[in-house]
Amino acid sequence: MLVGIDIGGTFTDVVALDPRNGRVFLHKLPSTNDNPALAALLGLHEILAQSGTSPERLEGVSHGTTVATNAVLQSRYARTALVTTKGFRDVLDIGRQRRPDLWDIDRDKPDPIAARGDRFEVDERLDRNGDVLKAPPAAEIEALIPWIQTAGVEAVAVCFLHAYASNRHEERIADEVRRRLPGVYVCTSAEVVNEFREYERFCSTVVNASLLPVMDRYLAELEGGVHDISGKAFLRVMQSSGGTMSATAAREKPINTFLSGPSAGVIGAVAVAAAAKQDDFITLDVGGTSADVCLVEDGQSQLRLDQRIAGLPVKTPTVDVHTVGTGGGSIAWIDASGLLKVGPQSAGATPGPACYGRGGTMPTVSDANEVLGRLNPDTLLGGRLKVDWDAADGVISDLAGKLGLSRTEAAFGVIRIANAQIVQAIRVISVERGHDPRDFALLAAGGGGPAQAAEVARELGIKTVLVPANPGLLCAYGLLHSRQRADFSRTRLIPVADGASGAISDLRDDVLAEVEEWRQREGKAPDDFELACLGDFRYGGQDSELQVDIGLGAIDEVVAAALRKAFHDAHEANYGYAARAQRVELVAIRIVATGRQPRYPAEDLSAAGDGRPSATRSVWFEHDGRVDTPIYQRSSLIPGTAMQGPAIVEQMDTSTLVLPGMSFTLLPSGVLVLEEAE
Amino acid sequence: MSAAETTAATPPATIDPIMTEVIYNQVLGAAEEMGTALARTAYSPNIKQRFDFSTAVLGLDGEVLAQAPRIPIHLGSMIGSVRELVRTRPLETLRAGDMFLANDPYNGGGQHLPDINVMAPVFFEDTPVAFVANIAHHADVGGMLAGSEAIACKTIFQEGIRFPTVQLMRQGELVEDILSIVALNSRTPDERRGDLLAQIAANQVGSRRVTECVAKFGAAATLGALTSYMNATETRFRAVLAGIPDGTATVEDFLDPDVYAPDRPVPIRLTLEKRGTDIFLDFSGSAAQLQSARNVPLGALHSTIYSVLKMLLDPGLAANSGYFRAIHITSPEGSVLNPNVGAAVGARALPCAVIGDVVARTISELVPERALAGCGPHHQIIFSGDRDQPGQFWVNYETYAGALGARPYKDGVDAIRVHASGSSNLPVEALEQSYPLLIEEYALNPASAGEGQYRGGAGIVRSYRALADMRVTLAAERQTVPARGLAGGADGQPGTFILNPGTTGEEILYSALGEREIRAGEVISVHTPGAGGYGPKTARVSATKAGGRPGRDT
Repeated sequence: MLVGIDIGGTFTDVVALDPRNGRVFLHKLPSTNDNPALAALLGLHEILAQSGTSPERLEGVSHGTTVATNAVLQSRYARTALVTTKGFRDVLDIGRQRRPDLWDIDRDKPDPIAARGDRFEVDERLDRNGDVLKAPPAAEIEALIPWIQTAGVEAVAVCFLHAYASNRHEERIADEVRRRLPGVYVCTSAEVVNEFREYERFCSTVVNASLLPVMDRYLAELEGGVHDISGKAFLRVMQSSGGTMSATAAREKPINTFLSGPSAGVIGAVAVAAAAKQDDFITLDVGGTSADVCLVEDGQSQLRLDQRIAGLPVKTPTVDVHTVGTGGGSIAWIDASGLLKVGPQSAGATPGPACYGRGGTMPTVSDANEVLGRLNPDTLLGGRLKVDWDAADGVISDLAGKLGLSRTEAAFGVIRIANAQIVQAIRVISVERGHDPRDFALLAAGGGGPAQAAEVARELGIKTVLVPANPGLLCAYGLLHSRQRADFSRTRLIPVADGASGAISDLRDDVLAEVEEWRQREGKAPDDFELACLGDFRYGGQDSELQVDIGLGAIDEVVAAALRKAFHDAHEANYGYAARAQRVELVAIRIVATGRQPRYPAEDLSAAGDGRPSATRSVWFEHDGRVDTPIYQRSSLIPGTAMQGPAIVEQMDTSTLVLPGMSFTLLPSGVLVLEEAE
Repeated sequence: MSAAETTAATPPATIDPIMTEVIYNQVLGAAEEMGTALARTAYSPNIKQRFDFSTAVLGLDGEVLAQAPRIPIHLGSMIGSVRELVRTRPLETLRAGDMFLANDPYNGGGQHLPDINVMAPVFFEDTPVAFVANIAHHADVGGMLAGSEAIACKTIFQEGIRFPTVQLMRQGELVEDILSIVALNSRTPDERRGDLLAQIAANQVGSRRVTECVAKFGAAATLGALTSYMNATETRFRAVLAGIPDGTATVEDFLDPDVYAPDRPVPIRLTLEKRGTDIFLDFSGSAAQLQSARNVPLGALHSTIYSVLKMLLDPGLAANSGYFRAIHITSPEGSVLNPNVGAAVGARALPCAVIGDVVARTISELVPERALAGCGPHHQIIFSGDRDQPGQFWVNYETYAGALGARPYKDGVDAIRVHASGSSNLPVEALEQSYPLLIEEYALNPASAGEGQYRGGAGIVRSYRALADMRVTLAAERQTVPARGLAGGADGQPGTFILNPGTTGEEILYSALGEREIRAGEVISVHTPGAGGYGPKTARVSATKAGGRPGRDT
């Protein structure tokens, strides 16, 4: 049995899969935020019992964690020292010298975690090639050890200038600290981000160091719990890149887990969409306070390297999930200009929207959906939440009065603005990255996604909407379909001129040596992984790079010339022009090691309903006004039979809105597909 | 939520509060997409990495409908270039696919020559409905010194190539001649071409998006909604002004002396009156225009004031012309803040920082709870040298953060760009990869911060060792007149440039130095000014960070 455990702020989701027959088991329990491992282990025991699995049949657990994210957001990281090059301890404060907000001058720069008094300078210096200008004096290394003891820090980040070109000075210090102070956690900048640009690298390294003790303690508990069930079972942790790593690797690189959950959701979406034969799609995950969108092309999500957490840059490959503060609980309000706004303030889970009947008094997106008849007026969450429809009606009517509009106009205004914000977020990840959203399907997830997806899709000219069987469990589901992944990179500036092939080859060999060392540490066979090798290229004088596939074959002058051409072509494709006479530079080489894709038999979903609606409700649509609309329970749909909108499909964790002019079909794979009529 | 946002106002009957919001968001989205396209396709680090550009959608009358500013000093700055375009080329002569370029402050609506404006009319069914425009800072457009903004310039003719409104695209066809002229006049021609093509691409993106919006909602509805949005922005700003007691404040501050008249201070005098829901700024009594390039053309003066008032009074205000209507600016012709045709203006960003302080001081008097002490302006060094091939140069243009002043409730911010300025630094490791320079120190300068109950921000120190012979051109403000403290807070420390510090050859360099030869092995060090404190130091309560971590005091 394989188990995926995704921990959210409110619930811990557990999904188990029997790889023999593809059978899936689902479980949800309240999170234990003070110690998230408690709910994770309880959920693990419960799902094994629920599925009748004996302990020795537990193959392993894949885990989506928020431990590192929450530790940073709540300042619960370890007290951390920075050891750096003389003259540069303030790099962490200076940052890139930009204001955190262009207009709000009261916004402070992010807290750099290693306080100024907890920074130790060493009189060493490398040049840009990694050659030694000044070696660290022995007396300073000697002084460092008692300083760390006195400072009372639990972790140390060693960050020297140009360490990406040579880690010799960093390693010298780190070795000394590890040897003399075994209780202190240490990492070096070359280990964490082996690339140039000191602020981002130092900052990432300090963040990583400060989380080492936190992640170590957490995973020790979790791994202990898993091994108590079965000593052979593995524990893997989802990374922001959308691939998993071993618990051992996660203890060294907690910084790689900041988008653990959302990236698992994207992997889950890829698995769901593959079942519906869709490789190109955009995910729309709408929760209570925000909407996450991500573009997937050819079954691959885009990655980026400029993630931030609590304002601090962390340079790790991250699934390009874009978030906008528009969710079901987003509050509608009128600003001093007299215009209607939606979010980013949210009613959250408590008190929640007025329709939850828990004392919410502000109009929200969910309340507007209630007034328009789009959500069940009696109960939500499969009967577990009783709806206070009058409260929703009251807050929306109140808003309508202030706007001088009818109740319905106000309610649809809230939806229209919420949708416009979501549409803009999708444009950012599609149009602004050179993709036409009309070439993609829209995959709706989260409790709120399926209610907004049809209108958002129509606004963008998207013809197909996919709703997974369990839109609220996509992250946990994704953990079951994840592959192991490790990223390696190294910066060295190489002009790609005649005679450069040797230097390129040497740089790749250096990275490959690192891959090999990692493989042995992980105890894997060379066949367990596929390797891909990319180069970051740019024009001389530019300060940002484009990636070109270098491959793993021998690099001679012909190949080097082909790489140069491939970069010109990529530049032309991405930016509309190429400067073919201009000098081309290679800045870094990246190697990605990816485990094999797990394949499971499809779950048998032959049980079907009678295809009849459970009720009829008056629902408001933009061009048609109020329409008596059939309400279907998802379990009652007949797989493979297309039906016509308008309709609403209800299920335990969500409601799907189907617009007039759209058809909807439940596929045998369990995915609900909405399509625009031609 | 700020106070302005929580006040639920009843909208005027003429505004559709929903479609106005929806359409404005689409048009703002168009401006933002232009910015993304420009950053993505630009060539030079100054545009691509330091984001020294802005994009906007403007009405046919040149009003800013929606702007996506990346640098505050560009706020509203395309009004002038679009108005100049419309003045010289009547609307009926414009065709779809036309695009225009201008940079001259006196004949093209520009601010200074390196900032090149590119504008395009947007057509819907053969009728112009709006303009899209962008402004981008080109690292060199010729002139007597690298970087095209040296203080030493005495007239705009020395600052670089000047363009009135000229045609850059004719019905979709690029006018290659213009690109050739720009490239030939620049010390870094390849960058210029790539950057201009990026500016064209950005306008094409914006034009397409605005046309889509008009096609969807109709021209009348779209423009009506955008006009409504401007009116709503004006209403919101006037509501903020209504909440401030009427009154007048007059303050005087000084620019560093002119390079050609070093004994004379350069007063900047502002009388600001808040009356009802309007604000009047009168700079009468400020110095006559300078002989050097620290004059501020009206466009830059306006942008600075729009930016600083937004920051101090209502940061959440939308960036459009609506709120500019409540702001009335007077500055006498021939003065440093409104120079006569032909005056050099290249270094206008530096005096704009002092203008920011002057505006903040008047607001501090009228609205003490939103006070802001004097800020440390940025400093600038332009390094240049010869490449191996004859006639080829490298130019490294860098700006260094000063510091934000203290407020009545919090310390200032260290090492940050202030008021209307905003571009990023160049990472040490990137710099050393590209230029023959070695950084020996890059640090905060805590001693520069003005003490107080709340302390001003600290400036920085950055020291370079030259690894080859080269030239440097310097620019600064507040090397003689410090950023002032408020309510008993101390002044910040002025900035300085030092050659070979701590050696027998130590020399304080003049802050407006033109091309000075630096030999391989010499060290040049920049110390940026600190900001002013607020309240007496005796009232300070020492702040400790969470977890007892030692802060800057240690």
